[in-house]
Amino acid sequence: MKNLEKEYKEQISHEAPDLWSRIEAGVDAYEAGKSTQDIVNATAPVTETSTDNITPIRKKNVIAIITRITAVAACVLILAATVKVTQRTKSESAAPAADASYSESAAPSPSPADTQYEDSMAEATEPMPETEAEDIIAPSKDASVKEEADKNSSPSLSPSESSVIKDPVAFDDARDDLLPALEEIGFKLIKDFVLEDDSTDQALLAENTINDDIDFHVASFTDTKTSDKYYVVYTINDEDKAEILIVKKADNTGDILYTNPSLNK
Amino acid sequence: MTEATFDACIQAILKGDKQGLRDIYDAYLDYIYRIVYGVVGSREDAEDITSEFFIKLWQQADKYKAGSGHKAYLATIARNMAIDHTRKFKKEILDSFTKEDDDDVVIEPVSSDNTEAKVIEDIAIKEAISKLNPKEQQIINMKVLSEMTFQEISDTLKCPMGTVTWRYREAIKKLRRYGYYEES
Repeated sequence: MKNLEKEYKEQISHEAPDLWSRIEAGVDAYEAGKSTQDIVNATAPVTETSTDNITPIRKKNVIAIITRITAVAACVLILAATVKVTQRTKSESAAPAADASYSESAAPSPSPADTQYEDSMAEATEPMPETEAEDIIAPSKDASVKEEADKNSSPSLSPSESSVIKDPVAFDDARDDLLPALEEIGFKLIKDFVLEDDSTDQALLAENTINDDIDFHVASFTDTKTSDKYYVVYTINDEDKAEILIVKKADNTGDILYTNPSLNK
Repeated sequence: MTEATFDACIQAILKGDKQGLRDIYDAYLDYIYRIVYGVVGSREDAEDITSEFFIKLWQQADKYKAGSGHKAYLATIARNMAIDHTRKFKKEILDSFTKEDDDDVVIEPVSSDNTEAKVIEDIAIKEAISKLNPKEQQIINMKVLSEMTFQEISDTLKCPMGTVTWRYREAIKKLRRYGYYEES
């Protein structure tokens, strides 16, 4: 009789092949993977930390930039709205004041046209404060221009030399002549200034200062140095040239800096 | 291999010295292979699992508690790996034990008279084992080769222990006819 357990165990045990090369290869592979993992682990915290740090920083930067842009945009919008409201308020309050001054000094029962004319003249001949005069745009030292301006009974235009308009502008058609027309009346503007139609102020000016028969245009420009804005009411004459009718400061004073002598007639 | 020698091998492994693993391998390759084979019943699977066993021993050497009976420790790991493998890839073997088919009910009767006790054929052990039905082979392998208790076999195969012991006895009776007896 044969021992079952002994015989069977020996038989199977003898069948066991040499597996060392496989095992060693597996161990080497494990160690290699472990080394790689160690390297990864050693670098991972740095990478993760840096990534974790960078991402919020980038997010913060983006948020900060967006916040700043939003804030600036909001400020610009508020400023623009404030200027608009101020202009409208000024215009609305200027008309009653002019009417009041007219009622004190004007001749009785003037015609509506005369009233408009007198109003504009009253505003045009008001002396300008010295400080405001210094802020006026585009000075002209040219004597002949000054003399011409005096000859045309223009208001005391004494814009300083330092005030130069540098904003770019796109001229088109007859408005190209606006620049020389402005220079002609004493505004020495270099060829860069904002020129834009403003329908609201156009209507306002039309109501208060301009005869309905005149086909006029309104442009605005800004002194880049003082940020002062000005309106120019002009017409296109028979020679297809721009002719300045009124130059008005677009601030809360609403001072008229120039009135075309023809409007006095 | 003594406990002290085994502990020294584990310490060598922990230091990255492959000789420690090599010594354990030399001492227990046959033992581990046999235990694994007893569960999976396939030479190819037994080789794969035995290789994985030693690699796992290298990887998890730090989990070994010195003086806790290293041979039983190794056998338990090997057995569990083999059982896991069987559950994953040889599910049909286990399913055959939980499913009671006709073979389970009608069992070839083995007479206990003297005639039946005589050796009818002198054959090699593997050939004798192959004469058993698969379920008997499984239980004999687990009991003899893997040194599992009936309870462990019962748990592993999810088969009542009574059935396990009964099958085992029937297998032993058959093997006697080929000249193999149980030691105890």
